[in-house]
Amino acid sequence: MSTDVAIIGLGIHPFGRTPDRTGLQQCAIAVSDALKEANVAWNAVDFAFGGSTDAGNADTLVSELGLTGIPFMNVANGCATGGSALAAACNTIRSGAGKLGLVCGFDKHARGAFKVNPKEWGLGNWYGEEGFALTTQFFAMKIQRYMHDYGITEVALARVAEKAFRNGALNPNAWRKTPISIDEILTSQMVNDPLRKYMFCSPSEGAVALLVCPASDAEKYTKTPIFVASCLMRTRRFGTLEVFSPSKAIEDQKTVTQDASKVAYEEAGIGPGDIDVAQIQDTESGAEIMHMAENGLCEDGEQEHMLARGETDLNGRLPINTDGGCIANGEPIGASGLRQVHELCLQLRGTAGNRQVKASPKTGYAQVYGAPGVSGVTILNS
Amino acid sequence: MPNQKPVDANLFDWPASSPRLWGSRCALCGNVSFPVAQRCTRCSHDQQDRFHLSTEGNLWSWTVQRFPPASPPFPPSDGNPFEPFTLGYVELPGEVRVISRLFYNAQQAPHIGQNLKLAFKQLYCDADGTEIIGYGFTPHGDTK
Repeated sequence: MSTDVAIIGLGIHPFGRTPDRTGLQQCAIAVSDALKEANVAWNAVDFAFGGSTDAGNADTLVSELGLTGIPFMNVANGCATGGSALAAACNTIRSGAGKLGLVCGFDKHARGAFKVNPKEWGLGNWYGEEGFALTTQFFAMKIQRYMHDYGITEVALARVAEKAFRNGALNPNAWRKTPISIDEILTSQMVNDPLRKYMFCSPSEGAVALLVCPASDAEKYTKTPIFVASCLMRTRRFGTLEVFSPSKAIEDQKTVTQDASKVAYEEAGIGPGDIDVAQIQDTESGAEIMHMAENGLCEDGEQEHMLARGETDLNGRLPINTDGGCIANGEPIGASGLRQVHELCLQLRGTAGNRQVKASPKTGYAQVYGAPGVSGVTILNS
Repeated sequence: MPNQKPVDANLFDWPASSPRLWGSRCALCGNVSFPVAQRCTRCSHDQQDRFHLSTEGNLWSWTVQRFPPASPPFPPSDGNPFEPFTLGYVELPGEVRVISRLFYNAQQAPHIGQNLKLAFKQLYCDADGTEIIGYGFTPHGDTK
């Protein structure tokens, strides 16, 4: 098992809305917290990867943190930005090019659905004029078909959202901290059939920072290092249905998440049965349901009874999105993937407070999905 | 009759006696693309032959857009209330599944597998009064 990289410091700025701080300022606070945790000074960090979509260039953080001259590379992979930044940092450590790295992600989005410029996604302007330039439609059409093929009901969609708000209520850094009942979710406004208002995450703000080093150095910084068993991202292959697809081949192909997941398990030398706790992309309820299967955590269609039995609750067989996921934290694009990793680290350290999963977890799994069909998977061991 | 033009001249010809969507077929592997591609996304071959896609298909998946998309790129409302619209992926048998508007009357509703045929509709009027025409599909004949 490749456990050559360790995460040795964590920082998070609360998600939600922070009108008096820019995204960069929120990230500087998260970085500061991570440095304090690992008891190191900024000038000990010798490389950095970071990203944001709407809140500025990550490398400008050096003017907040100190102008030490290190290489600081900006990463942009949509919602998979954080996963990509962590993958790049792990490769830097493995290659020997760095000894102590910062990985950070932050964002600050305007209210409402993401505004999409079709040209940035390789599409003609017609795509927007016809009314197709919305990520929400893709998620709706993907789960609509999935429900038809595998008998998933709208009650299952509501159960995912209800769990997210219930977990968010136990997370001091979450945006949505008020539980919402299944009935209230099922009668909330329809947004993109079959998905309703309370089943969607909303664009928000927040920042996360992690410090990484070779596993052999970890004890210099912390008594509770978390080891990276695998960390990688993949782009889509021919035949899959993705965000911003004007067409899809009739032949079906494994999804980009299935591809990334398979390689991640192989690199870690484990299988889905070894996962104790998971954070998976829940842009909306349907995405969590489909990603459960795409990440090998269940068979297609099994989600209905798993959710009915509470198997993915905090005290269930396989807790999923223990911090409330995107639904309760919102989606600051640059920060989401690292929020998942941050939460896994807390769960694996056993320091997740009121939302700590019962059995002491040893192995955690994180997966992000983003436009235009990218997926990042990280597997961690305590 | 006011001037009309297609939302994108590469998607279909307009005006035309029997307008159809343009697609392309890979000269090497036969894969069908929509819109017309320069290079095959399956085999990367760069010779793609343009042809007219089928005008009939069936509904693979659908949703309803119930809030107004951001403008631009969505046409400005010009003060008119937003009308929710239905869209989906339409499977053109033996070819490809294309994203499309779905046009229904008050008695019709979308369901997966439904038979559909190609249709066209005005999306909006541009600043000089030209009607911009978009494509869609509408229910057709017996549906499964």
